[in-house]
Amino acid sequence: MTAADAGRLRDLDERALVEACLANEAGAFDLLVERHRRAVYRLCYRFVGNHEDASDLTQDVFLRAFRGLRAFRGQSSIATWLHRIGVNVCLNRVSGKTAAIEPLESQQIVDTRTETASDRLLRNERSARVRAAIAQLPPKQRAALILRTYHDMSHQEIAGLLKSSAGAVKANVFHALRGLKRLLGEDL
Amino acid sequence: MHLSIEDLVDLAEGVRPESSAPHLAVCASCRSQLADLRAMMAAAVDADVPEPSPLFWDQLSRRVREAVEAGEAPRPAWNRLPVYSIAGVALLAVTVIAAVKTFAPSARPSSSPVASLTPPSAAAIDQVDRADAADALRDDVWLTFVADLAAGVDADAARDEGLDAMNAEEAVMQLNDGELRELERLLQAQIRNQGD
Repeated sequence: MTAADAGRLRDLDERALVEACLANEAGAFDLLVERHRRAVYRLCYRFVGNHEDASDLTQDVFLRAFRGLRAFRGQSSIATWLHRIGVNVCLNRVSGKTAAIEPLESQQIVDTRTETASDRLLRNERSARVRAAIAQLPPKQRAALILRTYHDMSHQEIAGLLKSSAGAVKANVFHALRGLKRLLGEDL
Repeated sequence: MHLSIEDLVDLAEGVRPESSAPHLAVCASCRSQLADLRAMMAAAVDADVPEPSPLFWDQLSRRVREAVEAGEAPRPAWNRLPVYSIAGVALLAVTVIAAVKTFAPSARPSSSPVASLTPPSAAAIDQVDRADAADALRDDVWLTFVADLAAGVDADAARDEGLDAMNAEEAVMQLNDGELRELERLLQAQIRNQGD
């Protein structure tokens, strides 16, 4: 792919980029992955609580997206569409597997330069405990909490995604938060 | 009466103001539950995902690319079969039509070099489980059958169809499961027609 081709691809809007992917244009799907990989990875990490599984799931999400590109009709944004695929992939995975939480020392440290080293360490430890607790919640509770807390989805939107009702989503959020309280105890 | 789960969640998320739940003012239990929910929500919000190494993103993109290349490419609905496969199936159809015509008792000359071949009967093909069709078609028997059929095809007729560059046996090897089922259907249809 020439630099000119790469530049042209980068200027494409979402729909045009999808068309380029469907036309098997070199570099088009790579660019789509590049634009959305971080959001997809973060979603997956929330579900599984460790880097290795989150990487595998992210790869799976993009592979499924590639295979299903024909079905993308542009009624939602690519980000929303990938998000839906991601949630389904994660739910499928977590419903059949106990989350493997990575130890704190294996996790990358968030670079927040205004914090003191001890503040940062404390915050990272606390975050790791919360993530580990979230990853131990039952799948539906975990999904409801993650989608509501980190992805700003309404109860109704989550209900649509989880094939549930808004009331059931609220109940799942409630029990998820109670579960967190139980798992974290007085640690926080 | 205590607040419901839905009420507590709405209050904790700020969807509803506390003023809409006067019960809170008189119930320590509900106030405590609401405070716990809010504390856990705040803890969850604060728990950020650790940022992986910058090198990870390129590695991830490479893994996705490799996985995609190992799988099938997305194609528009009007063109799900690659060109070579469409040509392959069409050539095989031409091959089958031409060869089955050759095999037909009324038309088959006794000196035909392929007269000793025994193509699978329609009944035999019907017995092939569709789910196993791909495997069955990949069997040597089938490959031999199709290759032998191809050997007897009128090359000019195939060329007239724009299919002259295809090798039937190679085409079969390249067909995916859907295409193989289509080939099976063509074979069945043609053999049934010959039986009419």
